[in-house]
Amino acid sequence: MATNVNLSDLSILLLFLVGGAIFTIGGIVTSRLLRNDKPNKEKNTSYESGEDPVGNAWGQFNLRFYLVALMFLLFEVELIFLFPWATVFGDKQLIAETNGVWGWLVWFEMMIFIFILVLGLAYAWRKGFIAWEKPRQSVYLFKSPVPGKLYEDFNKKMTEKEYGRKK
Amino acid sequence: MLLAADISVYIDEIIRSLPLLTTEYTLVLSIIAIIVMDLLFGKENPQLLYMAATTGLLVALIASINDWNTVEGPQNIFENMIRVNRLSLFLSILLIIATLLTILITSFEKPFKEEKKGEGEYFSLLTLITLGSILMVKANHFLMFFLALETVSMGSYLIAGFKFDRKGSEGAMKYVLFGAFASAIMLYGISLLYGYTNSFGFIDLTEIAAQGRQIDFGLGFALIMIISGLFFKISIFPFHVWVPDVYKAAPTSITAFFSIVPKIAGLMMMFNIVNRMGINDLEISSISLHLDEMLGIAAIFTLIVANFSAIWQKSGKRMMAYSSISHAGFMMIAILSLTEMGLYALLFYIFIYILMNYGVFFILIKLENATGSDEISDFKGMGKAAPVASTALVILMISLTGLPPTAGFTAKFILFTTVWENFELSGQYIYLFLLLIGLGISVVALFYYLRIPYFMYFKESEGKREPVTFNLFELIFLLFLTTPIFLLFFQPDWLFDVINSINFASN
Repeated sequence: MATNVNLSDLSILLLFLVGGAIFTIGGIVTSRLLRNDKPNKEKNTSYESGEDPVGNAWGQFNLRFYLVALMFLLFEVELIFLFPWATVFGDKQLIAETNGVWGWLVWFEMMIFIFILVLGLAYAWRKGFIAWEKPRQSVYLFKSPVPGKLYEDFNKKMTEKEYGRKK
Repeated sequence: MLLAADISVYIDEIIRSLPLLTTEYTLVLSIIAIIVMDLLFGKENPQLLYMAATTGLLVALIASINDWNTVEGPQNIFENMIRVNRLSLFLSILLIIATLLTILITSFEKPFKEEKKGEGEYFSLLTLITLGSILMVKANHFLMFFLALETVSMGSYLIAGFKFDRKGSEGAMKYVLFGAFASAIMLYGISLLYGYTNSFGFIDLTEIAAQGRQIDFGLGFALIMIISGLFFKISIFPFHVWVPDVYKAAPTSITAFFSIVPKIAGLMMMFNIVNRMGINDLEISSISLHLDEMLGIAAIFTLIVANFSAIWQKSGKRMMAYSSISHAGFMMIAILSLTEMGLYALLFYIFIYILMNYGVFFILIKLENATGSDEISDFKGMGKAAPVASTALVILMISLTGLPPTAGFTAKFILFTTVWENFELSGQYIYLFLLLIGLGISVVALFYYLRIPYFMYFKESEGKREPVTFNLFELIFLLFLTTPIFLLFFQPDWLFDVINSINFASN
């Protein structure tokens, strides 16, 4: 059978939506099948950069999250620009008809853009904004007279009390 | 899909446009150079950043002057996004000179001499704001204009907090909140305007307006929103409230910078919008509001509010902030003019204002260094301790008031002549009101400007602080700022010959 499928622009969009949904749901389902299931209170809260997701709106976030988010955005934007650029940049017909001027112009424009972004990264790096302060770890030497089993049982009991009997 | 034939046209347009923006390239390169230098060896010798910023601006100045000498008629480049003409080049030169003066007076400011904090950022932001202002002056397209405006605003928000203390952060934060609000309003206005006119250019609205220059409410609303955003940037009533707080919180040299560079850019954009879009002629039909009357009333209130508030100020910087609001009001009057004399009056005023402002702020910096505060009462006894500088300050204050024999008088004289001409020409009473209020308010201005000389000469120093002293270089700098103020009173033609070579018709 001759496969000459013509997709309209919108159906491409639909394909992306479906593909995205499959990947997301697939990931969640697979991990659900493979993982251990030991919920506790901390694990069941939604992740909010180490903060309590429900609470006072004036709570302070660690400022470094914003910096990291900014830097992430920097390169996210770069990527968004690079994709369409790449398809237009390599257009052989345009390059041929403008005697190569097109290619050089577009190349230089993008290089200037990337250079400025990299300068931003270099700035953040050199000024020490990326360096994430590591927590100082010290071994706490304490021998508990209570056996470990007791703690585990207690935790289990508390979890069940908190979330009801899930299984 | 792009067509190859179109692409060739685009490329030709870009290649044609490239050589006309040498000033901007220089500034961009110097920003990058300052950042790179700061990263490589900013900690060891920050003096280098100073030199890089100054060199970059000097080269940009030369490039602008070169353009000024070569560019004849207006040049629309980058698909009408940018318009290079003698007017915008003249203002570019003024903007660069103002930034150079800022860097010069920064070098006297104590915190910068001692703390050495964030100098790379400071100079690159200063250059960035200058770049944005120059692009704003040259913009010929609302998107270009908004981009340039945001470049200026973002830089200003950051640099306003460069005292790194609680007050400084508070001022910067206020500036961000107010500024973002103003930008948002303006952007919404621009989008509405695009909806109505299908164009981002500064098109003549009188052509699309109905008979009798009437426009409907929506378009009028869009224009009012754009104008409100600009009012914020050039601190016209009722959008002036942020000015005293931000000016007080910022480092003093930055206060001087704020009252000149972003303001000139905003005023020029106001001029472009008012004159090229014919806003002076429009009337919003449904509420029968004449836009020129609205602008005139805003200017009148600006003058009244600013001058009467300035009387009560104890801090020199806050007083100068209100003074800068008041001068914005005067320049707004020049913008409303119907004839080309208005533009000449505006340019003359701007030039004189730069000289006066930097002189006063320079002395304020010296005072702050000596006493640690900028209270007007700290001027006590300065008349004896530093006679030459005090004389210079008296001249500057007289000029700010607008009394002879200073160029401040000439500037106001030309301005009021223009307003009178407008009144005779159009017979609209708003011009008469502008004239009367402008004259009347100068009396109020006299009161607060001359309070400083009063403290300097008639009050004795209380002896608990060191007197302000000026070394030879600082006196020469003051002389350099005050001499033109004298000379241009007797020979205004020297400046007018330059300004007159700007062809109004081709703008």
